[in-house]
Parts: sequence; structure tokens; C-alpha cells
Amino acid sequence: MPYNVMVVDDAAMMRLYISSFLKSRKEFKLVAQAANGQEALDKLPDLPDLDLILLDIEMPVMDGLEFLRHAKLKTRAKICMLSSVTVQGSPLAAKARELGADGVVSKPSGTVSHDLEEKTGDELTRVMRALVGA
Amino acid sequence: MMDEMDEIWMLYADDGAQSLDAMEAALDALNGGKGDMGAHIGALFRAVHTFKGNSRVLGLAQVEGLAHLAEDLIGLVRDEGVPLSGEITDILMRTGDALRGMLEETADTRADVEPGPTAGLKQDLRAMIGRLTGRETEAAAPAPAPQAEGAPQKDAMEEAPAPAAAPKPKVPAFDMGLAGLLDQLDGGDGTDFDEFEGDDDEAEVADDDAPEFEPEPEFGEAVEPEVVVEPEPPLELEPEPEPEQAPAPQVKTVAEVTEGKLLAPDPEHHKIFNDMADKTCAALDALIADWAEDSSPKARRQADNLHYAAGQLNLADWLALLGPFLSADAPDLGATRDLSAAMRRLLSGETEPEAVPDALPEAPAPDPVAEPAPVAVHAPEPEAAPKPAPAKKAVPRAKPVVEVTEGKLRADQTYHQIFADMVAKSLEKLDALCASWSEATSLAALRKEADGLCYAAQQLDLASWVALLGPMAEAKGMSHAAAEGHVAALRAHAAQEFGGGDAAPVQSRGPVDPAADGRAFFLVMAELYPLIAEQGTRMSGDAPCTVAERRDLAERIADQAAPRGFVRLVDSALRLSQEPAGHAYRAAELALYEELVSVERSLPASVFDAEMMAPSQILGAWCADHIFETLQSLRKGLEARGAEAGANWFPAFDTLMRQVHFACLNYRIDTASQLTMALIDLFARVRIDQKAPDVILLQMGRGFVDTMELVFDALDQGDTPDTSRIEKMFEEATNACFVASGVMTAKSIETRLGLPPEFHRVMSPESVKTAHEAIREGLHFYVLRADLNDDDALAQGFLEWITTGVVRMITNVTVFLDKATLFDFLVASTLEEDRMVERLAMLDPSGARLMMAQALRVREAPEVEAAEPDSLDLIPMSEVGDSLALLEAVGAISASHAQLEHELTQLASVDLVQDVLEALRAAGVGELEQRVRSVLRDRLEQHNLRLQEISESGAQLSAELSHLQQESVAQRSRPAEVLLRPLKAYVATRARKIGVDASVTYVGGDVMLDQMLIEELRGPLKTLVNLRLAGEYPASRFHISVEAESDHVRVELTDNSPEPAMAPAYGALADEMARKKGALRRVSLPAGAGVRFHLRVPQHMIVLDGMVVRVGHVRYVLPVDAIHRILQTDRLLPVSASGATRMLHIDEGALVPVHPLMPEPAASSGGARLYVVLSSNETRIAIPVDELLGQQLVMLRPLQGVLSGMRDMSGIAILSGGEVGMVVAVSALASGDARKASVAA
Repeated sequence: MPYNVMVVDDAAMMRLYISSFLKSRKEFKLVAQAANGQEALDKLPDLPDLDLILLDIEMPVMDGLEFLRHAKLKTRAKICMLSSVTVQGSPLAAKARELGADGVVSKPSGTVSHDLEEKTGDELTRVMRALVGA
Repeated sequence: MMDEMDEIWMLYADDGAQSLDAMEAALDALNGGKGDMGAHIGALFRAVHTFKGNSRVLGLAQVEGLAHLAEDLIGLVRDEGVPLSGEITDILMRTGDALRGMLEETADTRADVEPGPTAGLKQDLRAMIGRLTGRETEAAAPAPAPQAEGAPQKDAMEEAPAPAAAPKPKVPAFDMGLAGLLDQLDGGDGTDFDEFEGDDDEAEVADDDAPEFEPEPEFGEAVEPEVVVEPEPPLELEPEPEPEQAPAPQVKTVAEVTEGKLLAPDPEHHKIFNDMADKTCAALDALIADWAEDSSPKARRQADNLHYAAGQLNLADWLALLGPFLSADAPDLGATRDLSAAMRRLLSGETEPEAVPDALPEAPAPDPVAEPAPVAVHAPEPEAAPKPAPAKKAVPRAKPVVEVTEGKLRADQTYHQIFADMVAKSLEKLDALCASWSEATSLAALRKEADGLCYAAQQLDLASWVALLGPMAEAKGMSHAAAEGHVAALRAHAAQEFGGGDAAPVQSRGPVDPAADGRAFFLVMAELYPLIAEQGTRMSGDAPCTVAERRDLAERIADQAAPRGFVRLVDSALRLSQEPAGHAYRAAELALYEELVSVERSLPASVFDAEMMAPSQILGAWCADHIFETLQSLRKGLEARGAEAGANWFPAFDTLMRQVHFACLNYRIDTASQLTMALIDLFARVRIDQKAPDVILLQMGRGFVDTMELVFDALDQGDTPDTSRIEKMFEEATNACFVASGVMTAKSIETRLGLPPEFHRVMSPESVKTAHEAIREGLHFYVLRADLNDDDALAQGFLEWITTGVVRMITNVTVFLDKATLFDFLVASTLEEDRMVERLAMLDPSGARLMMAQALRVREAPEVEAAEPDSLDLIPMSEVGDSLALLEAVGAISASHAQLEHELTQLASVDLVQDVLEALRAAGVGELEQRVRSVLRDRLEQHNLRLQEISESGAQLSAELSHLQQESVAQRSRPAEVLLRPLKAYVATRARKIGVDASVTYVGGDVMLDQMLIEELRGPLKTLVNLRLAGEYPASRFHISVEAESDHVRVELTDNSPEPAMAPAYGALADEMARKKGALRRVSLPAGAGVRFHLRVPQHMIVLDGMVVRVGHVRYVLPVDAIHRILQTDRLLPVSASGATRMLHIDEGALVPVHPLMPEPAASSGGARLYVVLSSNETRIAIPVDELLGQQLVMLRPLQGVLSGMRDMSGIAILSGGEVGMVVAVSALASGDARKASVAA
């Protein structure tokens, strides 16, 4: 059984890249997408079997950190920040850890990282696997 | 023309018939015993499986149920090694026949069959499966005798005795008693209890009140290899007794057991049963909370286990409760919930059901004005409404409704509306109750109200309501505040469930106020905090809580959290009840508090006031209380260097760091709290790469611990801590990834490109590297604004374009403009600005979605460096990283520069004019003309002047280099406080652990020591205090003094234990220190007043002002501070009483022992010689040298490898010109000679 993943990112192209990334990893299955935190929060009740959320930070309506505050209470799914603003050791990465992010991975080339697979693919896969216990 | 459904039913009939044919054929083959039996079994399984699947698709639950049982039975033969018997094939034949009949009926009626006709067959199948898996019910049929696989056994089976007289097949289980039997039931099924309650199942059943866990190893301690628990082998069927041998006198039959003759009278058995029932409830609740496709069989298995145990004890009420549940093929969520609730009531001792709420039985007739009449087909007849008999237990009263309505009640919106009305009315009553709360009477009223609602909720299958109301209905005690909390939670849930329409009565009270609900939640939690704290104290002490106590507390927390959907809080509460004492429990405690803080963060700050502490405050205080222990554990773990300490290293590090984080928040040291999280992030990312933390990270971690110890110590003393270092470290943490990547920091690129500030956050090492390369290549930089989210084609085209090579993407950032989400791309390109604009226009002719936002001008490097040199970026690296190598490099450069400067000075001091004239004269050139001499002198003097100027500049640069060298060393230095204060805490902790009191005082905390030296002292000091505390007469006081000499550090540790330090361990420690060029001496104080230990460790990484001398071909460095005088003399006085020792007569009557640094040839003993007289602690020695090479600042480095055994040398230093000089340990030399001199005198 593949692990169910939701992607929350305001950049449609980024959602596409992540979707493509997930397709090439059979142990994960993209079951939902959201363009901001509020949309994702609204979808949570319908996703009781969600295993993992890949979460951007800078989004309109409700940003990733605010979503994290709420989602941490409502879902058992592991939450992995996947953002361009979480350079390791940075204040926002620290904030995400403080708010309970289960994993943090940096996008390699900004908000829309077309080279996600190429540059961060292995790291992201390792983090995702570690989080879901695969 | 057939419609789609006609086709489906026809297909069902055809496929079903084929499946049943295949089933029959396989059974015939098996009975015939020919061919590949495995293949026949496989075909049989597939046939039944296909049939079952088809039935399920069409919703034929009865058909599917029977097929499912058959499939389970075949599965035992196929997968579990159960031998195929005639009894099995026979019952499968019967099943096949029944299924065929069902197929015909269902294909004809297109509806499911009645359960009645096949109930007996299903029961037989269950019984057989139960027997074969060791899970018999009271209806179990006799076990078949062992037989060869595939052999027809029909006759034998027919001759088997009747069930009532059958021998119990699991004879050994009876010898175990009920406890063993129940254990077997628990464990026999594999992991049901494990799944929900961890690994403590057997221990709990056996001794619920015993603390069951050993403490886990601390962070950094050596971790034993994890014991991998092998999965238990599948339960093997016991060899079954021959019928005529079985009824041995002591073996009880199933019938006898169920009559209670064997086990029922023993109260201990009932206790065990109650515990088992309790666990079953918990397991069912866990299933209910996370109901899934496979939950039904799990729930059934749980109930089946308990049912069997109830049968053993002849517990009629339990049998009555569980039996109906088991009669369902696949109990659903509602039935499971009903069962759990009823079991809890039975467990709590309730024997009489409460009055059934008025509204629900009359529900079919809602107010005709308010709502349309209920749909007749769904409304149950009034007489079908539940009429519970007074004598029945709680759940049986619910059963008739479920049976009669067959779930229709749950789907009927009319009932839901009625329920909403009930909730609204109840809320009013509960509000009134809370307003005039009376400890004596209000609780009963509240329970009654909650119970009525709970019952209704059960009927309607409203899980969340049952979860919310159940605890209220069963509460045995409740404060006013807790009651208010419950009611607020109820109101919030009502608002959430019934929406915002006018039809929802509860909504008339206004929307739910998250703040009010949050406050209500924390009001209840406030009552639990003391219990959590008490449990934490007990778990770290000698009397840890029992499993039952821990579970009770966890359930009380979960009762509050679950209705609000705080799933992680529920999980953490559960974890708190399961983790063993020690680190794991502490981590669970932290996790619980953190989850509460998460709840707090989702609420407005106004929820908390002076009267109600926020969980973050509680957590902060809790962490602050333990901060020194936490830091000590952190240090220990960091010393263990992570990777070597095993897989648990990071989680332990994470837990400890989080505790530091909250302790910092407690004292409002925000930068420090952020720094802890930044460090967690850095370590976590390394960990995920499965690498050991590198030396930079470890050093950063250690520096953090050192700093935080000082900070918290200052706070402890009521002082204001110096936090400037923390801020610096935080900046370093932020830049760590850049430093580790070997690239300049983002700041330098931002400055050179004049980047808009929003790019700062997205500059990764990758981006910086790309940008740096682009700058070197002379590319142009642009910020392009793109609106890509609504135009896939443009997005695709643009992103393809920027990866083609014409344009290189550096990074991009989100820009929120009104409601639009745009992206600014920082790109580099060979294209000039006008060409770039053209290309953008080609991609987006409208110009509305893609535009040039800014063309950036790359500033020249010197321009930038003037403002902020790139080299500054490297300074933090030397501070945070392992600076040893860098320091050595600085030392080498400094020494080389000193040599150059020396040469230059010598050159500048030469009178070139005189030198040239002498050279000319020597060459036979006559006197030069005055005019020529004047020109030559003028030129040479100018040259000389220039040389002197350069020499002076060189001297200035040399001073700066020396300063840099000293600064570098200083950055590696820490006050001895960082060694002594943790040691103080360590002694206090160790003493507490062995049940004594011990204190530490010290002097010399401000002595600056190199970190390497601190590390070298830490171990021996800990060993010594441990030894002195572990003796028969443990020391109660320690005093430590620290002094630094030019080449070594001296530490004295004095205690008050009368016990002499005679153990071999002291000798071993002394040997170890000697190997490291140090020393350890022990001195017993007079009259048994204690023992004083003298520790001496050579200094490392100090910058030494040294006089470089040559003796033979070897260069030595003598500390300038230790030089008393330098003289050339032959006034030697041999002292015959002391071997070859000679004394140097330096003043009137003053004799100084001569200590050659290397053996001298006999010839050298006569004549005048150059001596350097050194002084240390009033002792003087004279060193004969061949040449004084000059004074230099050198950096002392420890002796390593074969050099470490050299006596009288404290280290080595790289000298100007690259030579290596031996640094003389004056104190060691002097003390050795003092002894000799003493002997000589």
C-alpha cells in the first residue's frame, strides 16, 4: 500500500513538479493537492488516511506556518516543510521546527524549483521515507 | 434491451456458478487425493474468493459473510499449515451447496438472503476456525484427529463424539490456569493488544501494579545493540489426543468449563478477566477512533477472545453482551461502539440501565409544523422503539433498536434533527447546572443528562458525540471548572456539527467561540497538570506509577482531547502511559506538553490570564527546573560524537535541545530559543543524510552548551546573562550551510547584485554558487516577474526557456500582489537588456503575465569589499568550526613572516655605502671621485631608507599577525567555569543517585583554558569525584582550584573523605595522565582530613613569546617569561654527590644547576659557554645553548604520536622558515632539577 501524500503549494508548476516526483516513487501516492493552507485545512477531514503532507511556507490566504499550527492538532499525517525559505539553520527553518514540523527540506532554486528532482530528489525521498517509516 | 444492472446481475449469476463449479471440482479432487494437492487448495481458495468478491460488489452481506468464512477456513489450510481433513472438506461441501442456493436466490430476487437458514452453518464454520486457530468458543466442535494431508477422513469425523463430550484440544493450556490461558489468547492472535498498547501486554496481565520497565540508557551512553524481537512463530496446533485417550481425569471439557466448574469461583480469575476486559475496551476504542476497512474483523477478534474467557468463567452477563455482537458477520462501527460502551458500564458495576430518554423512542413523530413528516418507509413503528426491560444491562437495551431499524435510524435526518433539539435542551439544562453548581447534587444531574444524550447518540451512530458524552456520563467526580469545560466542549461541537442554519436549534446560541472552548479545555487540563507532574516525579524516582494509574491519567487527557479532534494530543497521552521510565518517559512527557503548547498556539493569547497558566509557561518552568541536567546530558551526547552513540542519538539530542528551547522561552531569551531550533534543524538534516555530525556542527553544539551553561548560571544567580555570544552563534547557524558548502554567504551576493530584500530568504547555497559563477562569467542579471498560475502553457514555455542555457535561473520568490500570487525570478543571461525584453515579449506577447521587473547592475568586488569584505564571511567559520587547522595555518604564516621581517631588518641595518666602498677597495678599485661617491651614497641611502620603511611596515604587519594569532587562540579559549560548574552539578547529581549529599566549591573559574585542555581535564576530574563518592566513606565536600602556568595547567581537587585513595583505579588514572604528558599525584591530608589530588596538564594552543635557541642541530623555544638572565661564562662547579650534575655560579654565592637539553660531548665541558638561566617557582636552572636565534611569537602545539613520550618538553612550534622547535617545559625541568639539587645539597 503506497503512502498517501498531500501537496500544499501555491505554485501550480511546483505542484506539477512534486506530482511528477511522486509518480516516480511507487511507495508514495499523491491523493490531494491544495494551493494554500486554508484549502488544505478544509481537505483534512476528508483525508483520514493521509500519511504525509508536503508543505510550502509562503502562500496566500493561509501560509504554511499557520497551517502547521492548526494541522498539527487535527491530523496524524507527518508534515514535511518543502520550501525555498527554509534554508538549513535559518530562522524560518527554526520556526518550522518549533511549530512541530516533522521534517524540513529546502527547495533548491527558489519557490518554483524546476530542479527539485535533480538537486533535492534524494534528500526529499530520504526524508519522506523516514517520516512515514518506510 | 438490458440495462446496466441487468448485465451486472447476469454476470454475477454466471461468474458465481462458475466459481461454485470450480469450488466443487477442487473439493472433489481433494477428496480423491490425486494430483497436486497444493494446486487444488489454491483453486479452491480462488474460487471462493472470487465468489465472495462478487457478492460484496452487489451488497449481498449474508452471501459474502458465508463465503468469507469458507475462505478463512481454506486460508488456514493454504497458509497456516493446517492439515486438510475430511471434516474440513465436508463442511466446505456443505458451504458450497449453501452458496449455490444463495446464488440462485439472490440472482432471482436481486436482494440479499435471510440470515436464518445459514446461521447454523456459519456457526459451525466459526467454531471450526476457532478450534483450528486455538480460539474455541463454547460451541466448538470436537477437533479432528491428526491425519495425513489429503486423506479422506469423513468416516472418522462422523464418528467423532458430540460436542458436549469432546475433549478440549488445548490440554496444556488448562495446566497453565486461566491467566496462562488468557495470555495465550492475547498473544495467540499475534498483535492485537500490541497494536494498541505497545509491548506490555503480558506484563500487564500478569502484574498490573508492577513497574514494568527498566530505565533506558541516557543520551550519549553506550547503547547496547538493540535486541530484535523475533516474531513469534505461528501458533502450532497441538497434537490432538485420540478420542479414547483424551478424557484424562484432570482434563476438563469445554462444557465443563463453560459451566464454571473449574474456574469461576476463584476471585483472582475475575480480576484477571476484568483486566482483560479493560484492555479489550481500550483496543475497541482505538479501533473506533480510527475505523478502517479491516477494523471489523479485528473488533470481532477482540470480542471473541473475551467471549471465550467469559465462557471459561461462566459470566452470563458478559456472554449475553458479547454473544449478539459475535453473531454478526462483520460488526460495524456502530455496533462496536455500542459494545465498548456497554462493556465499560458493565466494568464500572452499573447493573441497572438509566431511563431511556423521552425524546428518542417517540422520535418518529417530530413537530409537524417545524418539519415535514418523516418518510414513512424509514420511520420505525412506534412499537418497534426500544422498550428496555429493567433487568437488562445497558447495551441490550440498545440492541432492539438497532435490530429493528437495521441502520435506517442512523440515516434518517429527522432523527438527527431531533437529536439536535435534544442537544440544545440539554445545553440549557447544563448551563443552568453550571450556573448553580453544587458539589453534592450537580454531578448526578449532569451525568444523567449526558447519559441520555449519549444513548441517543449511540442510536444514531454519532461517534464524535458518544466520545464526547461518554466521559461525562461516566465521570465519578468533577469540579465546577471541569463541568464548565465539558459543557463548552459540547456547545462547540454542537455548533460545528449542526452547521449555521436556523433549523439547528443549538446554533441560535451563536457561533462557537474558539477562545471560550479553548479556555474550557485548559480549565480541565489545569486539574490534570498536578497529576502529570506527580507522575513524572514518580517515574523518575523509585516508586514509578502502575500501568493502571498511567492509563487512567492518559484516558483523562484523551477524554478532553478526542472530542476536539486533537489527535496528536491523544496519541501523546497514550504514549505517556506506555513509555518506560528514563529517557523515553521524559521524551513522552515533553511530547505531551508540546502538544498542549500546539493547542495553545492555535488559540488567542487572551485565553490565558493570571489565573490560568498557559502550557508553554508550565513547560518552560519544567524545562528550566532541569536545565543543568539537560545541558550536562547534551554535553555528554556531543562528546560521544553522535554517530558512534547509536541510532538513538538524534532523537535524544532533539529531546534535550527542545527542553533547552523551552527553558530559554521561560526566561524570554528569544534568540537562544531560536538558536536551539536552528541547531536542531542543522543536526536533523545531517541525520537524514545518515551522516555523522561533522566537526563543525559538533563544535557548534559544544559551544552552544558552554554558552548556555553560563547564561543559565547567570540567571540562576540572579544576574543578567551576556547574550551577545548567542546572537553571534545564531548568525553562524544561519550561515552554516554556506560555510559547509564552501561558498560565500548569501549576503555577499545580495550586496554585489543589489538584490531586493525579499530574495534574502530564498538564497540557498546552490543559488549563491550559481550566481557567483554567473558573475565570474560576466553575465547580466535580471529580475523577471511572472504570473504563471493561471496559464499553464505560458508557465511551461517560460520554465523551459529559463532552463535552455540562454538564461540561467538563480532563484525565485513568491510575490503577493493584492490577491494575485506572482513570482519574481532572478536570472542571469548573456542577453543584453533590450534583447531580454524582446525574448519576454515573444513568450508573452500581451506583456501582462511576463515582464522585466528589474535589470541589476553587478557591483565590482572591491566596491563591495569596501563595504563588506567577503573575507568577513569566513570569520564565523573559524569561530564555529574546528579552528585548529586554521589556527595552525595562522601560526605558520606568522612565524614565516617573522623570519622575513628578521631578514629585512638585518638588510636594512646594513650600511650599504660603507659595504660597497669596502667591496670596491677589496677588489682593488681605487678611491672614487668625490662626485661619484656622493651620487652613490645618495642612491644607496635612498635604498636603505626604503628598506627601513618596508621593515617598519613589516613590523607593524607582524604585530597585527601576532594579534590575530592571539585572537584566534582566545576564541578557542573558555573560562574554567565551563569545566567547573557542570562538574558541580555532576557531583550533586551523582551524590543524589547514591543517596548522599555532596557539594563543590572552586576557585580559578576565570582562568582561560583552551577547549582541548578542558576536555582533557573533564574526564579525570569526573573519574576522581566518582571514585571518591563511591567509597565506603563518600566525600561530602570537594574543593577545586585551577591555575594556569606558562606551559601547563595545575588543578587541585581536595575532598574530606578519610578514605585513602588506594584503589587501583587511581593508579590507572595516573598512568593515563602520564601518557598524555600530564601528571596525577595523591596526597592524604593529616588526621584523615581528606585527600588532595594534584593534576597537571600541559598547555595547548597558547601563543608563546619565546626565545629560540639552537643546541647542536636542534632548535628549542624557551618561554621569555621564564628567562631569568642570559650569560656567557665558564664558572661551573661540579657536584660530585649528585652524579654528573654541575652547578653554574651566576652571582655571588648563587649556584644554579645546569641542565643540558641534550647530552654534551666531554670536550664542551671546559671554556666559556652561553647559558640561559630559567626560573620557575623560585627554582632556577641553567640551559647551555650554542646560539640565540632570536625572539619569536610561536604557537605551542601538543606533542603527538612518538613525540608524546618526550620529557621536559611541553610541545612543538613551527618557527620562522618552517623549522620545528621544541618548546621547553620549564616547570617540569625545574622541578626535576630541584629534586636533584635537593638531593645534591
